[in-house]
Amino acid sequence: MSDGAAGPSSSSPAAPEQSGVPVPKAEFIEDVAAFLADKDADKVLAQLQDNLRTYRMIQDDLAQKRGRTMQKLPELRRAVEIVKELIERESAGEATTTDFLLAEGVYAKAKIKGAKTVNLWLGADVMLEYPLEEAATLLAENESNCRANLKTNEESLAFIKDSITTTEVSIARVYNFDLERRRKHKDAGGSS
Amino acid sequence: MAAKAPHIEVLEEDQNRINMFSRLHFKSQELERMLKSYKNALEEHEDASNELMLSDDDNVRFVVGECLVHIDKDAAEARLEKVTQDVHKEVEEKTAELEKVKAQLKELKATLYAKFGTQINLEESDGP
Repeated sequence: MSDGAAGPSSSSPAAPEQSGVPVPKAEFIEDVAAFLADKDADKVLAQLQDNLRTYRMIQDDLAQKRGRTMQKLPELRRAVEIVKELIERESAGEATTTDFLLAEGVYAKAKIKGAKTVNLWLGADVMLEYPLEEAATLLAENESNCRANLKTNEESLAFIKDSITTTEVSIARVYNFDLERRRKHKDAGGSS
Repeated sequence: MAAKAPHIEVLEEDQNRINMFSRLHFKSQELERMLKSYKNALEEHEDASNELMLSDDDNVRFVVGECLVHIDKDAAEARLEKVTQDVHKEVEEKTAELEKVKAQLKELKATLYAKFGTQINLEESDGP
């Protein structure tokens, strides 16, 4: 008798996705009757529930990453804008007068003229000075990478959602089939 | 006990339709969220534009990045106009996309309900 191990092997996911490690997609059960013929439905259901939990964990992880990226994007956008502004004005020979943030709610007036460089905060307590054009290029690159990451993340989320939906439907079908099977067995007066 | 519903076999193409429905539903919610935030932005731009027109002050502080750059009133109006146009363009694009998604959702709903009737629920709920 089979050990009741659930499902085609490909429907048990590997460890949660670690940046790019593919997780097996949930397989659609073509023929529930044939599939359950030699298996214990309860064990199958338990395995499917387990798969579902893993998928949901991955989904949460992806959703968090997405949240963080969506926050970074406007910041990058703003950085690109101000550097572009400086470049335009410097090349037009104009001074830039601006109120900049000293502290929350406190602004100071500054006149920027002849600026050739900007300092970019790279994180990890590091700030680097860049010539204006180079800074603009770097920031634009970061922004475009950010958007690319967002897109990949969205695709992964859709993929995981598919697996979740498929698994949920499989659970319903296995459960219903088993219920029906037991009922028929009982009706036929067989020992359960 | 409720009357036994006829057993309707779920085929792979049905699963694919259900999955697609789920994806599109999520997308439609995303698009509606974006459109809402664009709508708010447009209202703010409208207010700003009105304020500009009423103001006498020729020195206007325009938000660029995180700074408030001093520019003259005419330049400010021109910039505001440009920014507003950009948002309008986004609104048009996203609205068109949303229409497409909604049409696909409608079609999928019809097909799935036709096959599964009351055995499937595709309505908005607080479900996963």
